Amino acid sequence: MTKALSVAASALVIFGGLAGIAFASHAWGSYHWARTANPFTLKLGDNVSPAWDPYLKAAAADWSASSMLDMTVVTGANLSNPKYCRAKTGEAQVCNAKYGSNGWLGIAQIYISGGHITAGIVKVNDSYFSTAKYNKPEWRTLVMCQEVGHILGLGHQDENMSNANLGTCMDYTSAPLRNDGAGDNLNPNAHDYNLLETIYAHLDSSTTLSQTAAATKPADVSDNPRDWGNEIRSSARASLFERDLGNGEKVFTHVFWAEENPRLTRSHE
Amino acid sequence: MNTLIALLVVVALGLGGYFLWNSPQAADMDADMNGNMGMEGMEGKDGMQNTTGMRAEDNMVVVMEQRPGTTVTGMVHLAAPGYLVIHEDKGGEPGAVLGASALLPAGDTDNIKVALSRPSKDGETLHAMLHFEKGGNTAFSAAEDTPVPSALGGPIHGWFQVSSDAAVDVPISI
Repeated sequence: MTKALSVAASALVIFGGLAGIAFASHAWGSYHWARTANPFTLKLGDNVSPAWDPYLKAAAADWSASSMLDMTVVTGANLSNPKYCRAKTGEAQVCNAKYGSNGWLGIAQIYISGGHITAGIVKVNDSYFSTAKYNKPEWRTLVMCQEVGHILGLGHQDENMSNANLGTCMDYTSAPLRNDGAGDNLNPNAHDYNLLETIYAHLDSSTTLSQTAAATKPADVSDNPRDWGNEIRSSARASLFERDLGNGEKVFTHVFWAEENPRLTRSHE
Repeated sequence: MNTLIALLVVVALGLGGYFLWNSPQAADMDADMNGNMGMEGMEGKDGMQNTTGMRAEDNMVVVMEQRPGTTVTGMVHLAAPGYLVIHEDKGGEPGAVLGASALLPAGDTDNIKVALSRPSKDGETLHAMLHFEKGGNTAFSAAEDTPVPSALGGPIHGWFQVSSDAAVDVPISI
């Protein structure tokens, strides 16, 4: 009898642990890009207008802070007609246009084969982003970050627009800049990065990613800071570098300084 | 007592297996077993996802590129019961009604099928519009069920293209 109770208790503990993992997850189904090595590189096809370029670059940089992946912004496949924004296998195409008064700010689509993402599309709706309410950096930052996050296989951390901000762009909000204690909702948070590590912890026997970017990654060539390009963002402990590879391809390098950012230290001297 | 314990064990292991089976690794197993992991396949495996929130307005319509045919598939968020209505294109704006969904409840509804009065054609543009139910019945009436207003002016609506190479059943998130 005691043994039977012990077995039952163990089973319930196992179930509780599994359920806890499942409920804490905010993955979009079990969708993920197939790849044979980590970190992997996902190309973002740039079909957006100049007004959106900084936000696309910022989203790429934010998600590249994950230890599992890098994002490179490449020439889009829809430059001649971004309004229709067609998919390109192995990449995510990012487009903006006036898609109409349909009620949505941004949308993400993923193409699936055998449970793996084979292509992605992000659309941001200028019908709304041309209005005074949404034509603000915080709304553009939030929506671009969130839609690109979906392309990686992430869902929403929360879908209540009226509760406290969770400090992540994967949280619905009516006030992206508001800090309710966890930070604003403009960027990914640690929970997003942790989930990416979980989703991409395993390797696959083949890849669904376009392959050409990895060979030209400066990070694969050298750890020399001169190969990282221009520093485009810095803080006390971190820097973000951008290197233009030509042909519309760029590589972002995140550096988390072991001590205070030496570049800032120099600038203070 | 033993029966109860056995039942608890079966339920716990069953639910545990469910969560494990829905992990990314399980998806890989599925892919490997089906042998369709190649880069050529662009067809969707799963249907549209339920979605709410990150909307610009209280009402929303999403209809992506469609293949030619006699039905259109879409998703909506409605503040009150209403219909997804497909319109012809008339100079870039919604024209005559081509078909309407069954009555939809308030909230999110996905994978809505709208039967068209004529087959859609490759290359044409159509419009998806939301209409609120007026009068308390359950069938769409163009004369009675007025379009859902948008904060941008005019009705909540969006255009979509019909293309013979459109992907189908592609998961969407807002």
